[in-house]
Amino acid sequence: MLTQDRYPTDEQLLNRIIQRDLRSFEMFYDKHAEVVYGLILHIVQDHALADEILQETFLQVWGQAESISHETEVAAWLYHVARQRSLDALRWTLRNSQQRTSLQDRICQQARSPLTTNTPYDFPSQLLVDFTDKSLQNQRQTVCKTFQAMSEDQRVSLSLTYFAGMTAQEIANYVNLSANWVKTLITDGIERLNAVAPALRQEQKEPA
Amino acid sequence: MTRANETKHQEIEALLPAYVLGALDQEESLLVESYIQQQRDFLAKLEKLDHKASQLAYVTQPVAPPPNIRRSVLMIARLDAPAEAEREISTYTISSAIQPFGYHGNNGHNGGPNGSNGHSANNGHAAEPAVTYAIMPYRPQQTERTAPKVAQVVRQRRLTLRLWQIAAVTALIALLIMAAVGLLLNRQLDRALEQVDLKDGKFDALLATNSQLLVEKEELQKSEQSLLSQNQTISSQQQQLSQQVTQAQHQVQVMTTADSSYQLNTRNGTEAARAGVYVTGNVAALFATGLPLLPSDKTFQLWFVDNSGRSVPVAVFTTQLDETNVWREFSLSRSAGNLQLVAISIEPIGGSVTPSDYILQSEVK
Repeated sequence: MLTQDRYPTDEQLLNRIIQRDLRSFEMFYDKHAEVVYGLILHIVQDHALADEILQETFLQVWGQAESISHETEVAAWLYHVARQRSLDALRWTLRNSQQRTSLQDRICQQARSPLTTNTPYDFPSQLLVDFTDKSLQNQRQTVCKTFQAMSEDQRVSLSLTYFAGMTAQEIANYVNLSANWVKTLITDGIERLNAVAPALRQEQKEPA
Repeated sequence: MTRANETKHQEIEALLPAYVLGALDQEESLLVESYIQQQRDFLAKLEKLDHKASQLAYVTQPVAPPPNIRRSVLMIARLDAPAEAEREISTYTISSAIQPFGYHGNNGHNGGPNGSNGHSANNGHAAEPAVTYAIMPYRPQQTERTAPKVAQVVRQRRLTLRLWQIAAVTALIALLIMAAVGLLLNRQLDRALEQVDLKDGKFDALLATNSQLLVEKEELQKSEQSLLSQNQTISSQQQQLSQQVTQAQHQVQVMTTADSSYQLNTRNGTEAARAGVYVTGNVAALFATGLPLLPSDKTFQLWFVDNSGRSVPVAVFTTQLDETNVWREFSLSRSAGNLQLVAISIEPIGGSVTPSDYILQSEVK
């Protein structure tokens, strides 16, 4: 098993994936599958559908690795694709407004509840890389603490737009706030996340 | 930059975080996108904002996917590896990123990562030089979800392989069924041949029986013919006997009802020949027995001798070889009247006028 200090970065893995290195693709899957699957499952709440979306997401990485810009953060691109596929699937599965309201209620309730950021997460032992107590785990805990420190309205606004695909106006109608205030909450929330986000590659190359 | 432009720039920039998350409505999105066409520095800002927003993925609890998904993804990737040339390489460009989107159930234009070939319908900047921007804000897809091309290729290959497998299994099953049917037909043919042999034996036996019956039939027909001939013989004999009986009855009646009768014997009375003559009216009946055999040139002749001693020839007659008892009836030209005697002589053929010698004669009255 590789240790974290010897483990290649996402960019290195992506370059090897472009060269059709299956081993690197396997390592890339092992590194991100749990977070991506958790994100998908959080949105669609259906294991069979989540399985399908997870498979399609990683096969898109394998099939379109060359299309990912060198300036793009690979993990961000991966989560972005997973979120878009999940929201598309969710939109097709929600047949009526009652189901949609139920989804919004669930997202809202989860946003209001305290996050279980301290819950230890055991990665499967058969993976190629030891992720325990590594940067990904630390990054997640930092983001969760930042998110937990936000106001309830801000958490709800960010969650409903990110996990349910709602517009500011729809969120405003749902939580009884003004649309401009929701946009402000979203903008501020993104900025607060910026404080804990790792630096982009171009920022690492050219520090401000 | 004028003050008005600077204000607009700030307003648009403030909308970028919500735009990245897809939280703007259609009108605001179009406003941002049209402005991005003019301010290329916004692209880098969008990139950063999307990177920040992606941190929200960590808010969810990581969940280990089923192991079979890992195997499936890796297997499909391995299957796809040789088909590298088929991979569709596409980049997301600013021209596709800022196209007017189908927004929450509108006209269905798509701009997601899966649909990178959209055309700008409003701003006319579709021909702008491509500026790479890998991540686009979320826009709901109005079309059916489709599997990645890699998965489609792999599924097609799997389908082809499965079709071949189904065809092979079907052919194998067909062969097995044909073999089983062949064996069954062979057994039935053997049974039928055995039955045919058995029936042949029975047929041969029946033919033999038939031949025997035909022989028996011929024998029976012969017996029948023999019986018929015997029957005819018996019938003829019966008829003869009947005629003989009738004749005997007639003779008895003639003998018993005759007006006069004469018993004829040999002269010395020692010969076995005897005769009787019965006269009724104009008919004279002769019954004789033990008459001698005559040469071919001789005949018997019956004589009446009247009271004057004159011999009157009555009739001539011959006898057959096997005729032991002789019965003859003769018509008389006139009534016999009283006779002295009645006699039978042997004369030449045709008779004589005068008797030569009597071999039988009655007593003289």
